[in-house]
Amino acid sequence: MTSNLSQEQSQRRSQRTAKSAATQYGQTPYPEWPLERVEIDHTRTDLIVIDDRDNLPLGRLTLTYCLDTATRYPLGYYLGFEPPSYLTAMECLHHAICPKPDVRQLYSAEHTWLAYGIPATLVIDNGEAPGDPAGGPGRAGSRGHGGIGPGQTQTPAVGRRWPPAQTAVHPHTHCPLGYGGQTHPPGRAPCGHCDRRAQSHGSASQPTDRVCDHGAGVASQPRGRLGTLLRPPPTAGYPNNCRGRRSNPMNDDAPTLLTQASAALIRYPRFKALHTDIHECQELSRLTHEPQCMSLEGVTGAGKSTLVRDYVALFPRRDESDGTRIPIFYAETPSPVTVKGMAASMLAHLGDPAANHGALWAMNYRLIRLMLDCRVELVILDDFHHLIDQETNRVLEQVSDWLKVLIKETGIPFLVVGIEGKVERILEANAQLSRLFAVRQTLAPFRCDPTDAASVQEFARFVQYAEQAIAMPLPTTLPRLELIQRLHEATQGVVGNLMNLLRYAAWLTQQQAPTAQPAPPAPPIALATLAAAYDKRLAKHLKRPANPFLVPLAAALPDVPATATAPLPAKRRARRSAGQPQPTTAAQPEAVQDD
Amino acid sequence: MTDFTVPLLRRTPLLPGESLPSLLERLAQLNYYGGTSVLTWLCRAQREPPLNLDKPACLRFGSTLLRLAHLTQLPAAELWAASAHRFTPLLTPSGELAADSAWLKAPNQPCALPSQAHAALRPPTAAQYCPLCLQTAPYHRLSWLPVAATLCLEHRCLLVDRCPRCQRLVTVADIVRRRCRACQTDLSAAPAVRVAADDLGLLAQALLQSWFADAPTPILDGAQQLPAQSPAHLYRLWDYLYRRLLTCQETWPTWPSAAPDLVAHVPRASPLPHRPPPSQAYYLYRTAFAGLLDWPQGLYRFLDA
Repeated sequence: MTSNLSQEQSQRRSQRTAKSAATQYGQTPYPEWPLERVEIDHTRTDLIVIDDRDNLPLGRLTLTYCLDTATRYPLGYYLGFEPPSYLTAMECLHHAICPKPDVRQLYSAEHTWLAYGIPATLVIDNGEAPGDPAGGPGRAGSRGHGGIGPGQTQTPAVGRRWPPAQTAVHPHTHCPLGYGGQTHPPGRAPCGHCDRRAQSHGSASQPTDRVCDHGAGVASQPRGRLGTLLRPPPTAGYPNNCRGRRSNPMNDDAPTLLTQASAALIRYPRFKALHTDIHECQELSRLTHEPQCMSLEGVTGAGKSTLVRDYVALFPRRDESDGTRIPIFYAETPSPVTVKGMAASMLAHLGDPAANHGALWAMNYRLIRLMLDCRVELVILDDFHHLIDQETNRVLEQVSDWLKVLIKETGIPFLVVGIEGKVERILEANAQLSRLFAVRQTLAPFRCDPTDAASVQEFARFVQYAEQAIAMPLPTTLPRLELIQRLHEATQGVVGNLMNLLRYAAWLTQQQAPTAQPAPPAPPIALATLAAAYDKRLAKHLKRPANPFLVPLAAALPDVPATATAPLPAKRRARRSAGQPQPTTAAQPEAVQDD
Repeated sequence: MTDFTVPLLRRTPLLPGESLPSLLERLAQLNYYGGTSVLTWLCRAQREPPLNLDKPACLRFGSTLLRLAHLTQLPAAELWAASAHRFTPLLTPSGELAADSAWLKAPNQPCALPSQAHAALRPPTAAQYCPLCLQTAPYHRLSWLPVAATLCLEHRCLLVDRCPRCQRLVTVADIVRRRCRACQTDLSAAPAVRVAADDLGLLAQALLQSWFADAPTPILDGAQQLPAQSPAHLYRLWDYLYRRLLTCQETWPTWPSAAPDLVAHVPRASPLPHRPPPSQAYYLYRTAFAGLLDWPQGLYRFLDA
């Protein structure tokens, strides 16, 4: 059709007009993210290699080359005597996908080669395409195997991917439960970080120590590879800000398993859904000029603070000519709390160097005015349950009244975060305050109910990514499903507990094999190590009668018989009857946040 | 809870020709501190004597300036240029140039500006201003700081140091707020006394202010030549004559009459001899300037009078 149009126009108008109207150049939007579009091409070099012993020509080299379009960073290459073929394309893709940790050693290069990963879209030049035998050696056409035509693209078939596109998929490792199709081998989790500088400056050639995780993925490699920098665009409506978490500078060159695991940030759908809820409150308040406040509660270790800090990191403070711009103001409720202490604490968190200076009225006035002048769009108040006096178990009404006035005076929405049940109690104790907090959310622990396949699948995927985060495989001596169930019973599905257990188990494993390196193949974590880690780190906190990794499965799961008709635990029954949202099959986790 | 490492939340650059006390006032207002005392406290906190007694409005130590530079995120050299230390080359007896960099290299050493030099400058609690400049932008100019500067060269009118209504001395804070702290009168509404016809007074002020601002001096014709000395030495002689006039004006039998259009504005004697109003200081500096012109004949005529 294009050619007909071009022919018609060239007959009616000039050839130049027809060409400009029918051209495809520049019609495709330019990729914004690394690995979003990768171009592959080959060329026969003007080099004929001569054998240095007998001076006989060995042949002419062919260079096959992969380039990341967004960052212009070379992903991989293959240089050989073979003519363009499946072999050269395959070798080049293999080189592009795999990490290249030893480039400096092998070739005495000055810099490391950072880039690797599975391209979301592979673009072949409009000429010779590698890999089509129809064209013959060296003149491979592109219509044939794989269905790639000139100028066409191909998205690699990676099966069901959890983090989309940017996740590197290793062809040899499969999810034991079959949920994720394929995944990285442990220690090679290539996605999870991104460097905004790479995106904004068009170059990702410099290592970064900033971590960004606007999408999904596992941030298990703090820095050093482009593959770990590659992230999809952020969720719609989110600004393109990088999060400010820094990896440990002492371990940048030789990151240990523990630092990798500590820096890991994985997200799951509920995590992202809550981010969306918070963002909605922020946006609605801005549009309606009415503070749309929200409460978020959850059990300890559920990842509430990490979730909100992650959200804060999306909107970093900016130094402008007239002062500091603070889009999101995060503060922790002091304990014990008084009105003046609360005002001083909030001023200190805001960044006032004279936070505790002045009388209460002066501090109040300063806090309100500074919040408005710094253009705060959302206030996040963590540890909100401190408003309940520990000694008397009564809600501190003066502070809650003060908070109500503060919200009304500033017109800025508040997000209060605290322990499950206590936040609700504080809000209910003050009717005016309760009215302001229309949105109330709970960050519940993971479920792993054998009668609910979706819950098992969600937790299994969570464990899988946690496993990648610590870069060490879990024991394979047990069936995967059984291991998942034991892990759930050991951690109660709480994110903090799971990461605590796995981190310590990984550390124990590393201690037992001191020569083991973080790079694969990493030694798997033994079941006995998990049991020891549980005893050391969780047993006293959870107060369970037996170690779930040492007793038989039926004993480890006392309240969930291994039958499909097993009743739900009382807490879950209550939650369901209360109509609280439950994880669904569609809500598969995308990431996990560790504490 | 107080974090002394963080800068101020609200900051502002220096306005053209703004003085350091004025900047401090504006910063205090921007950050809702109620006054510059909080900034003084921030600059003094966690410091050993005598550094803990330094005031940012009247700096003595470079370390205070460095601390202020961190709080305001402004270059220390820029703050130094907005402070009274800018007048050090003119006010020090030797007339030596005191570079800001040299001063900041030893921030815990007292500055070169001697304490007696502060007598030549107006304190922040007894400032002076030009009502017409205040209408343009309400902030205190560095050029209004010296006692000898009594005229706004831009508008050619005398500076004012009191509220036009309640006659209270105005402070730098009042000037920045543009209102008298006592009666809330708009200070920019004060009547401006123009002296455009007084060539001698205009020349004297232009010369003085060029010395203070380290700017090119106005060209004098042959009959108005000054002694061939440095501005620092000339200023000291000029200031000495001014102070003699100030102390003996009551008993001077041949007190020269003021310019006809200034008689109504120049008081015969100041109620506070150490702090004459700008109009009187203008007239006395103008009179003393006559002793410097046509050297040495001018001085003889001045002494004879």
